[in-house]
Amino acid sequence: MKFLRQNSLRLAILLSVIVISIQTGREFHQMHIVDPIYPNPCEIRLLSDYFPTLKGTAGDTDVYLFEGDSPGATILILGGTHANEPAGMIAATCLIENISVETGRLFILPRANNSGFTHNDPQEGNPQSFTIRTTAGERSFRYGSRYTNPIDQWPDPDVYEHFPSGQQLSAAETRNLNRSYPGRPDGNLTEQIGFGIVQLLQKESVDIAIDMHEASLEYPVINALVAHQLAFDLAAEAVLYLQFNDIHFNLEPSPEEFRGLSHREWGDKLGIQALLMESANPLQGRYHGKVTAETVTSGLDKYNMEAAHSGLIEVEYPDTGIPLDLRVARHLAGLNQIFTVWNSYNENKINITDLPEYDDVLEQGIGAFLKQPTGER
Amino acid sequence: MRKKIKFISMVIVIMILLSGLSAADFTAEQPILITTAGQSADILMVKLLAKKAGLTYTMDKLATPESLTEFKSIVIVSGGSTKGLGAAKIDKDDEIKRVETLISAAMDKKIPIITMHIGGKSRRGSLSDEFNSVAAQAADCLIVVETGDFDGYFSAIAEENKIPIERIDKIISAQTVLEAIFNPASE
Repeated sequence: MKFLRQNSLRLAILLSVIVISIQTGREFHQMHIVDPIYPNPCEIRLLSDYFPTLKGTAGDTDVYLFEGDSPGATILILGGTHANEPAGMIAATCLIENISVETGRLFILPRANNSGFTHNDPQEGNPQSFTIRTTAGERSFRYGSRYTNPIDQWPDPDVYEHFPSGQQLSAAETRNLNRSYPGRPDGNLTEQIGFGIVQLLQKESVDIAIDMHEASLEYPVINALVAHQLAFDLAAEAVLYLQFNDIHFNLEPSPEEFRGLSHREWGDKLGIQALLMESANPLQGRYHGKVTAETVTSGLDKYNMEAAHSGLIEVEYPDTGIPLDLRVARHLAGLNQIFTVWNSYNENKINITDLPEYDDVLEQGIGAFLKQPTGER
Repeated sequence: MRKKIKFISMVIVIMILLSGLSAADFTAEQPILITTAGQSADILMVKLLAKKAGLTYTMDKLATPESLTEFKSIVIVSGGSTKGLGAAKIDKDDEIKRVETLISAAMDKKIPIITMHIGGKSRRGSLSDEFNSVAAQAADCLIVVETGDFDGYFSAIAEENKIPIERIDKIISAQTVLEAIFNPASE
């Protein structure tokens, strides 16, 4: 009793620490719960089907395969390479929940780096999730990190040395999937995920692979379609027709010397037409203010607005913000146009039905194209 | 009365200037060398438009005076791209030097230069305008997507140098302009 009296303050602090640790630990653990996706009829595989070492690890992820009745082109689409760039993951989810494929095969990985969705960036104060209003209620989606969770891959080296080029980057980039390609089977988890994706591309003889990203407003490569040189003609014509429809994309070449990027290594190693799309996300970069679940979807950020007024950013930033609806709509429009151009020059076509149109997504919101939280169709 | 004469004179001067500013009367010959000032990938779209227009061209992103062998016209696609400069392994200053040297050689050989700016507002700004300035100031004719001329930058250069300018609303419209310049008989 005397002990308790003498140490009451210490015990109170200890108890508080335990309670806070349990609560935050529970919240953190909840980030490992995978958000449900309610697919249209398709086959669901795992990335570990292509690289078994990934089985049971945080790097394993769902691969959705839509296969048409007629043979045709094979396409791979990645969302969620960076889990803090939600437009790519939502665009991929939207495809999975809406489309059918009549000709060809479409592989979709909505959470390419699954581990990145199980945490978020320390000291950034980012929300763990955000919601999108659907016709039947709100659906929650994880807001993660650019990097693989350090719980799954630790420690970082002092300097990240890319395999096999030897290119050196900062330490955290060792957990960046889009610096890991072509990956290696005995590498760290991120390199193994990259290797698994390359195995998929190779085994399924993919013709076109598209990686969907977002970028900060001050980054010069923004609202862009980045193309490996093998995909220059395809990309140039797609950008031309997108602009004709008042959807402006910058066409950017994939730098030959910058190794580890999806569009560079997929094209070089496998000879496929590799592309990457960047939409403009006001919550990335160094100018933005507090990131909340609301601003993730509204794309409204007062500090970026000030930066825009000072001419410090690379895109127009209207008073209405750059909402998630617009960013997803751009990705979907880009995909649609790439498929259209491909089909006009190739016998092995990809014919997709019910791919949401740009104008419809803007008018109705992306929630109108996501399934009900119950999963009912 | 004096005011009226002044006003009518001004209208006439403006009309003369405007008629002179159109690229409709500008013609040039093939084969064409298509190059870039700033290494933006917009050159790929111009190549595509030239192909669709059925023109005889060669695309050389790093063309030098030595490249000017059989060419009768040069199309310079202006606008800077950091990724493009990186991909071409050339820095900004060397790229400007390359373009200036090429322009100088073309002028010596009296090869007409058509400068195209099709990247809109995103190919403006401090990096791009260094290239835009070099390419546009040397041009015999400018083809510009309107959004890239939002502040009258290219129009002012055209007016200052008394060269024709064709302002188009969509990149794809440049195909018709190129057809008119290089195949006037087919129009």
